[in-house]
Amino acid sequence: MKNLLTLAFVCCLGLNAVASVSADDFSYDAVAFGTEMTTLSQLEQEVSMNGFSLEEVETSAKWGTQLAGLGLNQASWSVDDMDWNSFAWGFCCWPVGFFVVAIDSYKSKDEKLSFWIGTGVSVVLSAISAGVYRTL
Amino acid sequence: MQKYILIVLLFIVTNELASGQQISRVSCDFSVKTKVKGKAASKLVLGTCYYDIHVGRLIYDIRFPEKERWIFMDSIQWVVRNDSVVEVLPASIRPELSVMHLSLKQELSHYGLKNSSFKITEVAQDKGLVITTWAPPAVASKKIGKVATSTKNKQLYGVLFYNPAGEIIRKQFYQNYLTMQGLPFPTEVVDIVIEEKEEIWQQTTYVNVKLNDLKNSNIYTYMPRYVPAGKKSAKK
Repeated sequence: MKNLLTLAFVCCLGLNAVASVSADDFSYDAVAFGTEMTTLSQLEQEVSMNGFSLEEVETSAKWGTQLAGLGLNQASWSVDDMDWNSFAWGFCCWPVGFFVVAIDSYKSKDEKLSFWIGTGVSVVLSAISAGVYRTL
Repeated sequence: MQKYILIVLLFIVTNELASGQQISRVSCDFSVKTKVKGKAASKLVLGTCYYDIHVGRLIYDIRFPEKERWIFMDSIQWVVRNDSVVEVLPASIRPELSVMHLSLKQELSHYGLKNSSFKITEVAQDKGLVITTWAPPAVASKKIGKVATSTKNKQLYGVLFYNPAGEIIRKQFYQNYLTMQGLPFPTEVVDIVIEEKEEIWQQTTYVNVKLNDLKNSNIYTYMPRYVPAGKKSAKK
């Protein structure tokens, strides 16, 4: 009985000694990682050696097609990037919004784009409602 | 008596010399390659970074894709073009958690967590790695999970970030260490962010690492022109 208890105690101790984080957690697929980075590594070498600008890379025969649609500079714009305050300025009061958002050098590209989208939506909706009003 | 004065003077002189040699600046050329695993979306950023531990501002002089300067201070990032601030963003890098700061402070081996509110909950050894698990402060435990660091030969090897549910959400690996003036500096950092549907892979490489660079003082201490309150970009 005493031996059984000792064995159970040792087993419990062994289980507790197993770390919740193992060395296997500190691993990644280095080969797949290297493969994914191949094109960017080649581009990095060329840019470093020749001092290319983004425009030169995008218009070059070699990289232009290879990197088409890569979105090198930034990820493509989505509704998640919309700044609704700037949109509201464009939609509700674009003449004021023009000074508050569009020509403010501290505003980001997303904010300015949101303002112009707001203005565009406002113009389109105004045109539609004006057309409907006249036909009535 | 003269003997004692000589000893005291010698002590002062050696102390001054030692403090004079303290490493407070680091600069290096860097490249950041970012890729969404299995997808076309990618990004390449090349430039030179500067950090002075006494100034506390991380300066990135970007030469590709656009010539601009990024200044990271506290939780803010300024984007400067032609000496004018064009954007103010929430900082994507905290200077005090950067490789430069942690290396200069010799706190990289524990990722600066020893001096934070995180507490060690477990230390284990597995396959040549010394793994330390850090629990977040109780007040934040519902929002942030534990952090695990591993060291190999007393140098930081990896950092794992968990969510409160215990799932790994980010892995960082510090590799190819360079030792300059007794200061270990990783020249390659692999960063893997694990999101619900995709993984973002990032590789940062540092070359031409210079310590205590006496030139370019104007860059280390660079501060963009005053930005009025309320001019921060809402972009996250």
